[in-house]
Amino acid sequence: MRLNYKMPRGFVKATLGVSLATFAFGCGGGTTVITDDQDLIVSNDRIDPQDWERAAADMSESLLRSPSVARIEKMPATLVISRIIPEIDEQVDTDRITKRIRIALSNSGKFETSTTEGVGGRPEDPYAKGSKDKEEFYNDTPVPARRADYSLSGKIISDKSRAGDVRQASYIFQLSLTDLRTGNAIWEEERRITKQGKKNSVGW
Amino acid sequence: MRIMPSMLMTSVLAIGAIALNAGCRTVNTSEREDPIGIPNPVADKRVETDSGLRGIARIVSIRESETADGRIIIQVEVLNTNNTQKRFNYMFEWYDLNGIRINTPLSIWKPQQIQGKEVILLSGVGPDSSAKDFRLKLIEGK
Repeated sequence: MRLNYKMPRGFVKATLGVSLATFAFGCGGGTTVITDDQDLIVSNDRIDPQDWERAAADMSESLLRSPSVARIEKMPATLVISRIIPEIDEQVDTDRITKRIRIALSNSGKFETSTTEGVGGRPEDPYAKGSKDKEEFYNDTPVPARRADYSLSGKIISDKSRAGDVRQASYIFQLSLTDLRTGNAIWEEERRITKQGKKNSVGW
Repeated sequence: MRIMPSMLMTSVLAIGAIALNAGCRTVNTSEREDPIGIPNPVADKRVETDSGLRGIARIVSIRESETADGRIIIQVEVLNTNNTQKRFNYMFEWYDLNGIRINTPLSIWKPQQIQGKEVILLSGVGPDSSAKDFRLKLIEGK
């Protein structure tokens, strides 16, 4: 049996239009979730997320390899985060490096970070601080002159230069670990991340 | 002036030689003939899927040590067999005695430049004393 059916011209055009639109949308710059750091954008004028992670990893490794840190007998020792001063021309949150260092040190079993002591008496966790103070008050616990054993402090410095249309930005991370009994730094490290290019790019 | 084909060929060859030489910078080294240090080599198992990368970062040797508090240190010597600077990325993964991967902020991809004919050392330290095995991943840079 032969079917004699002519498809409406409007239907064909509509189908073609929808197909083309779908094709263009599917192949064009849709947003995807990036799970591989190698595919992240590399900026030549700011600290990228992967730069923070790399600096934190390098610093943590240096800490864990340090003979002075290896000699620490008290395990885990209590660490407080002191001032990390960003001397760069962009707004940054230094927790981007300190948090990852804290995670690495906590996982190592060598250090625990105090969340109830902080610079200027400001605790990271006010509720925990209040709870701790209450515990000590009601139990008549003598308050020690110092609770923490070590402090982490440092600075982040930037250095930028230009040659023609090639821009270079260096970010220097400086950290020190201080023994609070002696006031002396038992570990110090500096790491530089330099980026260079005419414009931002994707991937290393 | 009539340009002879031989003059043209000589010029092309000369320009080519200059261009080639300008891109080639290789590293010379000097060290003690009989090193005092006694390395602790690690026998490794390699899976190489990228032949180009094998030339950029050829693994020469792997050595093992440990920190004073029992953390494993791995140092890998890699050689760039090319005459020009190359880039690659590397990452150390760490495993415990049961072969379970340890989740750590230390396991991230790191970019690395290597000059022509240069030997460099890639180092990793175990995140804690339970880290007993490692896996080094290498990939060519973009």
